[in-house]
Amino acid sequence: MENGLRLQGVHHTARPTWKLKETVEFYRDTLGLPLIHCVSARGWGPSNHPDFLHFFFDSGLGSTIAFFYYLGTTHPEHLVHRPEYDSDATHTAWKVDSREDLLAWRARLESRGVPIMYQIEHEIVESIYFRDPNGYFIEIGTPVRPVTPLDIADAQLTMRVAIEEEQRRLDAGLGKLQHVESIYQAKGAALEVLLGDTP
Amino acid sequence: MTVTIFVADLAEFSPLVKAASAVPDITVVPPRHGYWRIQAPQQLALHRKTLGLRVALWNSALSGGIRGHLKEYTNDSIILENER
Repeated sequence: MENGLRLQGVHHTARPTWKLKETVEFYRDTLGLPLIHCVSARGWGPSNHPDFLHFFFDSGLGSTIAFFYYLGTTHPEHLVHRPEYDSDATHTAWKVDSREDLLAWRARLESRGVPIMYQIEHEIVESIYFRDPNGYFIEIGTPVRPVTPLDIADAQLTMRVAIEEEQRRLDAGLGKLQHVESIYQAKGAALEVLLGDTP
Repeated sequence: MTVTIFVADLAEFSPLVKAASAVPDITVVPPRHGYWRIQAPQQLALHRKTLGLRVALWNSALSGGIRGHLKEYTNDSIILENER
C-alpha cells in the first residue's frame, strides 16, 4: 500500500429522497439512528440546483447515512426505486456484532411493522433485508466467520479468470459473459494447472 | 476423462464436501492449495434434497471451478459430465 495510504471506514453514503417526514421517522424512530446533522442550504452550484436539506443519521463507529431532500422538485421517473434485483444492488448493509444482535434487530423491526423480506446466511455474512419508505433496500448482517487468506486468493482467482474469459469472448465476437458456467470452467482449468493432474 | 468440482476449503462449503463424500462412485480428494476436489469418471451427479444442502450453498456450490460440462444445474440436481 503506497505510503500506508488507507481509508478509515465510512463517513457517509447519501441518497435522494422525496419523502421527508417518512424518511426521518423511519431512520430516527423506527431504526433509532440519532439524527446528528442537517445542512439546510440555498441552491448553489449549477444554476438549476434547488434549495435542499442534507441530513445525517448516526449508523455507528463514526459512520452515517445521509439523504438529500430537494425543495420544490418532483420525484424524477429515473430515480424511482424499482424493487428489482438490479435496482436493489444499490443498497446499504450495516454490521452488527452477533447473531443475537441480528435477531434483536429483526424483532425490533417486525414489532414496528417493518416486514423482513429475507434472512439468509450467505458465505461470510448472515443478513436480514427490508425496505425503507423510499423503497431502498437495506441489509443488516453479522459476519459468520473471519475473512481468510484463502478467501482473498479465491476472490483474486475468480476475478482474474472472469476478466480473461470475458476478453476471450469479446475477441471471439461472442459478446460479454453470459453464464456463470464459463467462469466455473475457466477457474477449474486454472486450478487444474495449479494442482496438477494427480492428487 | 475425470470430471471435477473444485471446492474451496472454507467452512460454508464443508456440508457440500461431507455430503459428496457419502455418494457412491464419487471420490473426494483432500485439499491442496486450498481446494477439495469432488471427482468421478465420466459423470458426476449431485441432488440437493438428498444431500440436505441449503439453497444458498447449492447455488454457489460450483464457485470453486469445474472440469467438465454442466449437463444440468437445476434447483435440485447438478449433473457434470465430460466435455463435449
